[in-house]
Amino acid sequence: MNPSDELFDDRIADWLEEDPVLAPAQVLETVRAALPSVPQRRALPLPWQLGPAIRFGLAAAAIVLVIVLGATLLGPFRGGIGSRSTVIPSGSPTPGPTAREQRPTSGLVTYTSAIYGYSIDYPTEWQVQVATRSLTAIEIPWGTSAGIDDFEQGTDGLGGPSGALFVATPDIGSAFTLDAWTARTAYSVCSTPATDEAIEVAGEPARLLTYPSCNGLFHLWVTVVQGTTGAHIIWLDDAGREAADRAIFEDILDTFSFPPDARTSPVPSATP
Amino acid sequence: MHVELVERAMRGDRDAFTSIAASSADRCYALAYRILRDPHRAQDATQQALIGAWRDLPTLRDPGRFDAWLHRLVVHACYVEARGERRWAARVRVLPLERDASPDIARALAVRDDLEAAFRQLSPEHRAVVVMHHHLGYSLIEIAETLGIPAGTARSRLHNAVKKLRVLLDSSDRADLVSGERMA
Repeated sequence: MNPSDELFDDRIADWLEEDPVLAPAQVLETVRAALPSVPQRRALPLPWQLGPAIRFGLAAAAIVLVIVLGATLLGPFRGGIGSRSTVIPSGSPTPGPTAREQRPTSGLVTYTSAIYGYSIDYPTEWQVQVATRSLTAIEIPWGTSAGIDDFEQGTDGLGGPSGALFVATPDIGSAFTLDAWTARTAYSVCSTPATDEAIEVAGEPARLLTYPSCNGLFHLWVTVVQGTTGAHIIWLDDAGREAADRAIFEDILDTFSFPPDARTSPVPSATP
Repeated sequence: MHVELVERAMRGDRDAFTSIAASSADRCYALAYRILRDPHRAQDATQQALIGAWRDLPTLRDPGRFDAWLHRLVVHACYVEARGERRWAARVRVLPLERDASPDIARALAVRDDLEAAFRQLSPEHRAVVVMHHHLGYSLIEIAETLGIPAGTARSRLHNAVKKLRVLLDSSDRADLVSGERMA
């Protein structure tokens, strides 16, 4: 390294040194408030960390598995020469998992947002990327926003292997009707949907917008307003799994509830 | 960081994790701020990293490596924040700092201003290695281990980042010189 390099390195280091070093107090407050609603991921213990009884059980299970697999593979030969066996033509399709089979099946768990106060159930094997601030009234709930709760099985931010759910319930004041708020948010991002259905969510009139492709992904986007609180409940997935997506989304939607202290007087709906 | 505290937090002790977060928040924020150059995004990244640390803590193999692991979470949270930043980057421009001061102060402000502008042109991955090396004092091996990348990648990222900074600052210096001559 020559003296010029060292001077340049010092210049960068000195400049970085001048930046702030103290985190705002809200950082710890937000983290502390979020912890009760964030379940810890459980790690599978390594074999040598298990007790002797469990190790013995696992070994026995492995032996049984080997026997069953062996019997299955050798099954066609068990009848001897002349016995009939089933032959799968090489050109026939191999049965694979359907979209529905890829869906979560082990039940739902209730999540209550520390930031917004709403509750919703989500599949137990999914993870939650928790919102750390509130969205503003007409702020778009992008997948990268810190204002959304992001529920998904994968970690790619775009649904992973089985869709993703974004939820945010910002305070939208009293100026917006459901239709006007929907127009300013969902319509402004994804334009006119393929279908726009009037439904009911948590006892309130809501809109369910279906987009076969918005920013390259299938979207089911629900907007609902209770008093001065709006809710975006958005399902995203790769195209082609719409039927299964809709089924699981409706199951989840049924569990959504606004915070108990939200104002309950309905806001009249009007055509945008 | 006390390993015992980390182990308690790994077993689900929220008080233990709150203590860890309290003693780590400033360090995480300082790292995030230097990478993102924005207080709000740095705050968001710090919060995401700490909440992610709580969620994933039981999967940490070596409690003694907690600090390096947390730094990795902060850097990755910065990458996510920076991806969002690009959406709005076209609408944001850096305003030049006020240079109507004494020549020395004006020169110092100009240097800061130029460094800020040049640094913002680096990718988040390049910014991260520069900050870890020049601010945290990490060696290339430590950077590679912390970020989970090969040492050669860490070396080339740092080399390319500093090279780009030099080019950008040299062109900025030349522009200032020309501008100064015209004014004179």
